[in-house]
Parts: sequence; structure tokens; C-alpha cells
Amino acid sequence: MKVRSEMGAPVVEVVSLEKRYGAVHALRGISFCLAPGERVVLLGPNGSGKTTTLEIMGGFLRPSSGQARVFGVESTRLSPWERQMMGFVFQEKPGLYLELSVRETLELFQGYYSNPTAPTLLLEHLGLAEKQNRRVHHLSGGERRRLELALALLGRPRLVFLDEPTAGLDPEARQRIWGLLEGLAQGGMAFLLTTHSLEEAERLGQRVLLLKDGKLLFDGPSQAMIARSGLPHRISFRNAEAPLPPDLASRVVNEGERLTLHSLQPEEDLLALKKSGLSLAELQVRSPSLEEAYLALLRGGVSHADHTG
Amino acid sequence: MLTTLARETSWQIRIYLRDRVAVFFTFAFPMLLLFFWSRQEENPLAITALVAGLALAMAGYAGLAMGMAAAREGGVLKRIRSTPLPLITHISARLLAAGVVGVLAVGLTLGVGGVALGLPVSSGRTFGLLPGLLAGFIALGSWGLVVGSLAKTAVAASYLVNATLLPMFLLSAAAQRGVLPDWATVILPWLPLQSLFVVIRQTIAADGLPLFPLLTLLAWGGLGLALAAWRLSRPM
Repeated sequence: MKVRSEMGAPVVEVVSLEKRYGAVHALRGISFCLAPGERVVLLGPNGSGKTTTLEIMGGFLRPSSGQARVFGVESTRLSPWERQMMGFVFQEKPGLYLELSVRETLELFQGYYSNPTAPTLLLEHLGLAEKQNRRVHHLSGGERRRLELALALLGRPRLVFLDEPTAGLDPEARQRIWGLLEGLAQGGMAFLLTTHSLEEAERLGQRVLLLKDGKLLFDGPSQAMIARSGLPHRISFRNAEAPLPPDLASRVVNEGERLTLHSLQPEEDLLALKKSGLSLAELQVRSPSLEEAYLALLRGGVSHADHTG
Repeated sequence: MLTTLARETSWQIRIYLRDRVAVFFTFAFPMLLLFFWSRQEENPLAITALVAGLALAMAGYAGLAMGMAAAREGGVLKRIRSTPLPLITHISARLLAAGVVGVLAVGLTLGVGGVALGLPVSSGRTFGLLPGLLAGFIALGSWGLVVGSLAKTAVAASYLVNATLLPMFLLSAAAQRGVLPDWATVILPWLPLQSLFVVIRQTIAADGLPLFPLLTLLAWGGLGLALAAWRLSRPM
């Protein structure tokens, strides 16, 4: 099994990680790694083990067995030196002082880091500049979420763990955060992000990890996950008078004015259609979406991780 | 290290003083108690000492216990653990901040008692009180940390605080009024709040620092600190 990235010494290395809560088996021997600057998205239904994985990475939970290393250090033994290079956005419990203003919150936390980002810059980037003097108690849920992200990024981290960072945010705020994360990732920041938004996963993730019932079903780029799902591409065109090639005809569905071909080899099938002399008017080729692949893989319950990344 | 602790302490004081409920029970509630009680009792020194001790307990014991539980419940402690700031520095800062607020509350109570009730509160006697207040604060604050680490929520912490602080205060008040039941006379001298009252009363009355109450406070403090250290060294 390939768990070590080829992009450099991993910033995160997880080997055969298991976590049990009494009779509940939250993680069942998962293994993966993150290279410096890599953007990885952790997908899975509720209760699949995403947050448990992040909690172990942050040293907030002890694994039952296996290893979780961050910057080469066991996650339960992270020192302030490693913490300087890390940031967190938690899923629940924002961990903010309700009595402080937005700016005061950033001023308090920036004192914990040796080379923090200027609060003004983060406030601008996250659209909180106008709210900087407002007490946290009076912020909306979305504004608090953005403040949490600002705290995660305050210490110029090399690695950030983001547990559903855009949950509950409006589209504008979500786009703003995506842009910010992409920019920081270009600067070399790695992140491990959990989300239920497949759009977010597709846009931000270089790699996708798919968890189900504590098992890693898939590890690789999103396009590889789509291919792994075994879902066909849909090639559709205006209904033609000419006969279809016999080997394709069995896979074609007549949908009124249009014919749709379900294809696992779209390039080869398109070539065959062209060779058959069909006009292929209003040709449309649609690949399966990441969401369709996600659902198919979860339904199928593939038992082994596919390490294509 | 000390700079970080001082900085964190100043922020914790600021946060404490912005919590209206905490400020009411630390500063305003003792004043109200002093005002109403002084009209019924003839011994203003005893009343002021009782109320000053309660003010210190509100900041050191109730404030810390509920503040710690609320911080854990709201995810603040977890967020602190995610930063380079050692958790022990943060907790020490909370303890120091509660101590500063508690001493301010005691000062206010004694000041008001001095002016309104004509107590002989001089600056020399007030400074002489500091060792006793420190011992009292360590006794109460360490147990505040223990309760804060035991209670899963701020509400649970408030129940624990009420279940322990109120009986201690009522027993001391009953003793002051001479209506203490016999069984309570045996345990009262061993209770930290009563020991603190006696230390404050005798110091203000210029009778010197009483040894037994002071040792009692130090014993409670030592036990509380050991328990708090054990509780806080475990994952929270």
C-alpha cells in the first residue's frame, strides 16, 4: 500500500489508524499522507470518521492504535513549535470569547505566534473589516465562522485542518474563503478539509479521501474517483435516421428527440459514432459528476482504498 | 514566559470584567449584602469580613469554576490547545486574573465597609491582610479549578458551586448570629470560607494573623492544587 507522497516529506502521515469509543469503531485502520502544500479533501457521510480523524491529527484525541504524525511528530506530543505551523477550524464549538470584539480576538491570539499575519489583512480578506469593533456575541453564525478561519490562518500556518469551514455560509462568503484558501495553498500551505459540499471538494481538493464507517474507500484525485465509481459518461445527440453501429445500439436509450449512449470509453465510442456516418447533431457529452461518483462509491462500499494520488 | 503570562492575565481580567453576570456577583452582590445586612447586625466588622470573604470566593471559586467549565463547553480550551500557548500558561493566567479581581472586590468591600460602617480600615491593615487573602485565594481558587475540571458544563459547575459555597456561607453567617447547631460547631473551623472570614476579621481588628485558620487555608490550598494539577494534566 502506498502511503508516502512523492511530493516531499509528508506534513501528515497516518498509518493504520484506529479509534474505538467503547463498542463503536469510529476509525478502522486508515492510512494516508499529506505532502507540503497539498490540498486534500476528506469526504464521507455523517459519522464516517472525518471529525475523529481531524481531532486525532490535532492531538485532541488519542488513537486506539496506529500512528498519526504531524511534521514527523506523534500528534499527541505536538509541541508549541509544531503548533506555530498549524491552524484549526473546528466543526462545533467555535471556541471564541463572546466578550471580545473581532479585532480584540485577533489581537489576543496573534500574541501566541512568533510571526503572525497582520489582523487588518485577514479582516480585509475575510470581509470582516466593517465588523472589527463588533463583539463576537453580536456576530452572525457566518461571521463567527469567518473569524474562526482568521484565527486558523493568523500564525501563517504551513498546515491547516478545516472541519466543514464553509458550513452555513452564504455563497459570497464561501467563494471568498475558497479564493483565500487557493491563494494560500499556492503559497505552500497544505490543508486537510472536511466537507459535505462536492462542489467545494472538486474546486479545492487536489486529492480526495473518501471515508465510510471508519474505512478509507478511496484516496486519489477527484477525476480518478469518478473513474473508480464505474459510472458511464452520457453521450447524447439528436435522433438520427441512419442506423446505429450494432455494438453501440444495445447501449443507446431513445429519449424522444434525442438518443443517449451510456459509455465507459467515451473517446472510443465517439470515434465509432463518427465512423458510422451519423450526423451527431447537437452532440453533448456529460461526464458523471463527483457527487454521482461519491454516491455510487458509498452505495457500492468498495472495500479497499485506491491510492492513485 | 513571564511576559506571556502577564499578557494573558491582562486579557483574562478584561474578559472577566466584561462578563456582566460575573461582575454583578463579584462586586455588586456583596455590596447589596453589606447594605442590607448592616441594618440588622450590630457588629459591622464581622459582617464586612463575611462579605469580603464571600467576594473573594465569588471571584476565586465560583468565577474560576464556572469560567473554566464554560471555556471547555464553548471550545475555548480546545482552541487554546490548538495554538502554541501552553495550556498551563492559560490556566495560570485565569487563576491570576481571578486573584486580581478577587482582591479588587475585597478592597471595594472593605472600602465601603470602612466609609459606610465606620470600620477602622487603614492602608497598613489592608496590606497586612494580603498574606491571608493570598492563602484564602489559593484555597478557594484551586478548588475552583477542580470543580471547573470536573463539571462538564457551566450549568453543572454553577450547581456544584452553589451546593458547596452556599452551605459554607450560611454556616458562617449562622455562627456570627449565634444560631449555629451543635454539630456544625465541630466542622466549621475546618471550612475554608470560615477560615478566611476569621483571617480577614482578625487582621482588620489588628489582632494579627490567626495561625489555625491560616494553616487550614494552606491545607485546603495544597490539597486543591494537587487535585487541580492531576485533573488538568488529563485530556480535557
